[in-house]
Amino acid sequence: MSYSGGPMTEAMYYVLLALMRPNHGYQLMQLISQVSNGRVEMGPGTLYGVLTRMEKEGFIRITGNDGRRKTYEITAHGKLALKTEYIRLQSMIADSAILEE
Amino acid sequence: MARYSYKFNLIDFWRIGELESWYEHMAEKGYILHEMGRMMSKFKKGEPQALTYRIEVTPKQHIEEDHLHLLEDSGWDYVSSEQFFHVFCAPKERNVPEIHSDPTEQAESLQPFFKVMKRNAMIATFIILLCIPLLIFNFFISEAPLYFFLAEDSFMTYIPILFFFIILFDSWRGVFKLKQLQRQLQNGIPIKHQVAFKRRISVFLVVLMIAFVNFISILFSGVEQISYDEIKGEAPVVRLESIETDSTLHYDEELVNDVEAGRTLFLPKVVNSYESKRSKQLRYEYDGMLYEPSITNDYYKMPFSNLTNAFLDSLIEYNHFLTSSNAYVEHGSNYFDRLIILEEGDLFRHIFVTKDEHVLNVMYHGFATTDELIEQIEKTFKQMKGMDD
Repeated sequence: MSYSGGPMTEAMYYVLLALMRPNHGYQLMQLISQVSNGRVEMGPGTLYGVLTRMEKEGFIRITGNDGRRKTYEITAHGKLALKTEYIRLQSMIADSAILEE
Repeated sequence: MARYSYKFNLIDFWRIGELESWYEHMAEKGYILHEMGRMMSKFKKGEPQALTYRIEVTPKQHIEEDHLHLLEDSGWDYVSSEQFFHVFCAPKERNVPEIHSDPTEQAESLQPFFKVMKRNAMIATFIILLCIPLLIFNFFISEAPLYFFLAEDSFMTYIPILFFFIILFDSWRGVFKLKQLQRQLQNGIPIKHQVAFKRRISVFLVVLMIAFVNFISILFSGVEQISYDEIKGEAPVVRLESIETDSTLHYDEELVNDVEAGRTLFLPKVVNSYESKRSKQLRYEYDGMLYEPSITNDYYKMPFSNLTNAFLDSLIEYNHFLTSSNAYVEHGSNYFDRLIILEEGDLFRHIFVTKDEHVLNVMYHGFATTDELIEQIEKTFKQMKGMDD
């Protein structure tokens, strides 16, 4: 299920968001939970799968590896995909004015 | 002093939820998983514990360091690995969040493993396809299948092929079931962890049973060299001395003489003898060579007499090849249940007789007459232990 533009999964979006600052494994999990106000609780297995996949597809890169943990950060390609998704989501919210009535 | 106990898994690898349930159940009984193997798992005997088990599947046959530590940092304790499968556990009271919060993502994580399973099933299929011509030959072209089955343990040749078919079936079943699991996950339905597990008679046990039967039959079947004295009274074997009149007949190093007795898995007794002698004075008219009579006795004891007729028919079909003739004639008899005779020229006689569970096949080349032969066969039958006169 490689990402080819279009809607991103929630897991992907939050991981990219969290990796705007370099981070690794467990801290990343906690950051995602914080940023989403506890709404998104990502399991470690899920996180690992998303990280591996996005690294392969060039959205994030490994900046450090001390044997125990790999540190990741977002790439320019990843930032672009994130921005695009952000704009898409914003448009969706803006178009949903009818729900605010 | 740690006490360990081994148990057969008896749960298919693709029944991930059931395996997890089983380990949890064992922990409740005080058997804590120590090592997971392909067929068996090793447990450490201790206090009952309320543990949750989860199995993580990786793309390669080992788990990466960062993957392992991420799970450990999240509160899961590593237990054991077996190829693509890695077992983690956590005490229930620790309330550790699930390893996978997104079923769709988990479906993705199973894909590399699924590819390997599919590849293995393809290889097994390819091997079986190579065996198909052999099977066709065995089943459709070979003659006298019952004879080979009873007297020559022919089922043994089918056993490796049977193994392969079982493994093939099991491989593909695993592939389909795993695909099913993937689809379920892709539809957002997580693996049922609390599912009731059933430890089933698995493929492994079936294969083990077949191997056992094979082993037993090898152990009990076979023939050994034996002397005529040893089989006297045990099997009806016609000796040359009882039908030949020439006193100068003697054994010779050049001449074949052999007696073997034993059993097969299904036939309690089998005796094959070949006797030949040469005369010092008597000669054949047509070429002047010294007279050399020979007699073959093939005796088969059926496990029960209902089998005799079917076996006889198959035996004749088998011998049919050796003598390539159609002229077997069935005769009535006061003594024998069945009597079948083939005569070729003046010198060759082939006689089949059955009585109850006894089957005898005699091939004779010499001057004695058919009647003399039959008389002797009857005598040797009566000499057998347990036969009434």
